[in-house]
Amino acid sequence: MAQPVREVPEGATNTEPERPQEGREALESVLEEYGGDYADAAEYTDELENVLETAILVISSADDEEVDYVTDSMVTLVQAGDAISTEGTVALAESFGENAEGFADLLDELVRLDQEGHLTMFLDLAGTLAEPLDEDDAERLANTVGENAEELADVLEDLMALKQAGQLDALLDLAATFSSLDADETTANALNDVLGAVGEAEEASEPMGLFGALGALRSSEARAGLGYVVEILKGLGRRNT
Amino acid sequence: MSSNNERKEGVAGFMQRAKEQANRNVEHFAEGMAAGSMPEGKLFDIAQQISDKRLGELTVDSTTCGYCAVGCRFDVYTDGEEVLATRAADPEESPVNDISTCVKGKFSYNFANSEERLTDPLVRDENGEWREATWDEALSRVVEGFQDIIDEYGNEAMSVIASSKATNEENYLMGKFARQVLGTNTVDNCNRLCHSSTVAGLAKTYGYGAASISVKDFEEADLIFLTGSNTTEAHPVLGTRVKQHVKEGGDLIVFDPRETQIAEYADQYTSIRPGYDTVWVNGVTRYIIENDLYDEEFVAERTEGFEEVKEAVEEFTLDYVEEVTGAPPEEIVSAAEAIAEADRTVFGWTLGITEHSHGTDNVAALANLAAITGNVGKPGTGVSPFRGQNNVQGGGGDMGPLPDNFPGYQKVADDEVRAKFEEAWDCEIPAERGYYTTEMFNAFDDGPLEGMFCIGENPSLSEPGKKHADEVLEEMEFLVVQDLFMNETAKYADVVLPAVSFLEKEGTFANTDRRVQKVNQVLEKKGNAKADWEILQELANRMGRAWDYADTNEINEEMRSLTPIYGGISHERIEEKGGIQWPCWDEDHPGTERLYTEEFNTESGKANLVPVGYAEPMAPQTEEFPLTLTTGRVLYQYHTGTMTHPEEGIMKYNDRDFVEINPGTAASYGIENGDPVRLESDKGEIVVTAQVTERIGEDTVFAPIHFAETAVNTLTDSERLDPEAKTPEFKATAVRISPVEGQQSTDRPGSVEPARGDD
Repeated sequence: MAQPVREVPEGATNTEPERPQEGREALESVLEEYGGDYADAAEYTDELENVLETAILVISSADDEEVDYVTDSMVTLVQAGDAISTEGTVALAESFGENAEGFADLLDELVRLDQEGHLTMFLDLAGTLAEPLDEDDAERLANTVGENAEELADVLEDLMALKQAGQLDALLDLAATFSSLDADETTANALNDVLGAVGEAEEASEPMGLFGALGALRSSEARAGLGYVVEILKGLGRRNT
Repeated sequence: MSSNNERKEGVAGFMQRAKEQANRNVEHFAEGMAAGSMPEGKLFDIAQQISDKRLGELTVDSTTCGYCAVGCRFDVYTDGEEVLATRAADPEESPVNDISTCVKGKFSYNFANSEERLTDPLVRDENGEWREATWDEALSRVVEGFQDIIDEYGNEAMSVIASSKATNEENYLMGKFARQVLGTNTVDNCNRLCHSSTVAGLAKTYGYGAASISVKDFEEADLIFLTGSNTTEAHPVLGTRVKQHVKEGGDLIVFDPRETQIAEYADQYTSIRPGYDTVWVNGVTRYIIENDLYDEEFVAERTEGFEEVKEAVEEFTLDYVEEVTGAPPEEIVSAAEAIAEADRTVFGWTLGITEHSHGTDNVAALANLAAITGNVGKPGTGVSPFRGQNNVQGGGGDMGPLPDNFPGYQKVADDEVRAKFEEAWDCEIPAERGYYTTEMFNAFDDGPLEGMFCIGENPSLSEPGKKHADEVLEEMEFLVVQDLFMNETAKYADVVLPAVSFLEKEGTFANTDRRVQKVNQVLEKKGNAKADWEILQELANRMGRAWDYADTNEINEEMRSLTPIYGGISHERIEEKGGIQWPCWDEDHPGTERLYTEEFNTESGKANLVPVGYAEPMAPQTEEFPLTLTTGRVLYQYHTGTMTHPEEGIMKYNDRDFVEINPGTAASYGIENGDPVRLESDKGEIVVTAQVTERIGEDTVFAPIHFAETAVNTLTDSERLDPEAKTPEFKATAVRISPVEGQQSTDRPGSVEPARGDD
């Protein structure tokens, strides 16, 4: 004999736990609460999730097995890109020539960012995020995000500037061309980083703080641009070895 | 299930999801790049390769639909977590539906991943609130509760409601659990609320309580005679078959209180008052006999009792039929002549015939009509009750979770049969039948019942007389509910056990034409939920038994060894043949497409024609309640809505119950389309939105059954039952209507487009 009760504890249903408000405070509080398991934390904030997704993409370029996972569905397109390159070497050369100036500018910018340590910092963060974390790591992650907030914002704003200078499109145009280039791994990796971040700047029509900028990484094209070039370059790397 | 679809947890899970998202983005962007730089032919090649690759990443498994009992087969495309698409299986593997699926079978699968799905067992805490529990704790409480009831009141105090949504194998175990573990014959299921009068009516006339035909007989018939069936909505794919029959030149006659969509395709539609079906059916039979239009040879060689029927129908003259039912004499004549002139007629019906206090008589009257016109046992002829729940034919009937039947309709009262099961199950089984579902709810009032194990059913909403059902559920000493959701019944339970849907398990269903088909797992089980058979096995073993089924195939093997009509229906053969129709006596038997080709399943081998007389609703119209309410279903919803309400798209078409009222009737009460209307019977009242339509007769109203907020069974009566089958009288309740003052009208009376209901 039981009184009718309809309310069920959420833990016994297929309900996702409620998300806290987004923003720095939410991120910090969630990191604090879930410090030992960043994956759980990632479920709670779009911001962290976006950083992680980008980081994972970057890191995937260093791991053949993981790259293959992403690459599998791209093989056809990469092959098609190759077909263009073998059938139209002259055209590609022309394309490269037309875009050479933009490419040079980008490399210059890349070198500058690298010299200022921004790229390393960003990659460090990304690397940290993508590894399975223990409690110490989680604490380091929280600190990194907190302590480097300003620098992160700086580097992202720099990257936005690239977009505003119209260089993103030029870079994207170059993507196909790259398949015929002998790019060294350092350049390739650096370009990956830049391109991913530049893509983010697509929506940077108004000033954004750190969290806004990170949020912009949700842009599918930002990640797509990054991923595409990663694949082209990995394909290139396989041919070179 | 493909191991590629295995979902990882924690960090690995996150990386997996992130990569999948990245992969999609990469593809999207790269496609854009390619579009700008490649010739179109190349693009098509690439698109095809990408499409093939994407499909290669999905799991595609065929299974049998879990909505109505038409038994459609289709391929389910999933990523292991959710149903992404369904597509009719190869026509050779889907003989019932061919290339068709209906709106529910095609789209309505969000229920499987609904946030409301129960993933863990629930028990009551010290304050009576629900608390998440481990399986160990929950099952311990169930065992303790069942045992307490048995110790204090005896085995006969326990009851089981089995689930016609579950597989045959699971229903076999539900019957076995009731008898072997709980020691009671009080086990029944939803068939009691729908077609049990069909089973009773056909069993006593022809021998088997099931359709005599296969779906292809609809194609071979000259005439399809439908009554009490809103086929296009309640059995949409069968409706397509009927429409195809008409399109190809076949004839269609429909008798129904509502001019349903299928009636629009008919050569003749005759409007009748609900609740007087024996009168007009006997009127047709009388005209045929009086005018020597019956099949004398068939009657002489293959039937018994013709003279008694002839005498019984004598009083049903054309004028009398019109007076009682409203059917014009010329339409009774034309229907009778059409049946007589057609070489091949199929008689189809659903709940408009059965859900009455005389449903068994209605069915017997139709069986008489089919037999005297020789329309049984030949291609394109026969009787076809369209069953409702996906597996009510198999799980609800064939598998014998029934108070009076073991699997295969073997009688509990038969000493030899009972001894066979006692030996096989190592238990004693009472010779007396248990309570039927509708009787159970009355037997809790002053009878011996004290405890209930309710599996995959929702009697709070589906039983007649909701107020009474709720009182019984609340007062019940110990109630266990096993379901996907915290439904209206579960909220009264002491323990709730989370089960899985047909998408998450394996087994078989039997459809409306006795075809046993395979059900395959296409999704991972949700959370910690378990298949019904797994839960039953754990409970049985905690209660002293030693069940040791590794899978449903092993259950099926045991079942068919005890069930002659399923003797040759192994999982392996079903897989090979794509479905087998019972009776199938052994592994060399091909199954039975059409019953009664040589003889009926009676002692004499002949059809027992049964004289049927006048019958009327137990609560006919009165001055106080001058209208008759008939209830039913709409295309977009399914029963009490547990499976369809989570579907946003479905709810856009139909998100509430309503009441159909004839324009003349509505005007006389000052009711306009979209107005809130109070519906009252002697049992209670509800308020629903008016849908003013000429589809319904002037002294009849119709309301669907799908929403708890306006539970239409508040108006029906738990004690108005068919005397033999104990089916409730859902199709004829005397009511009155009145406009509700002070509430706003809505321009969406029940749905975006005109919703219809069945039967």
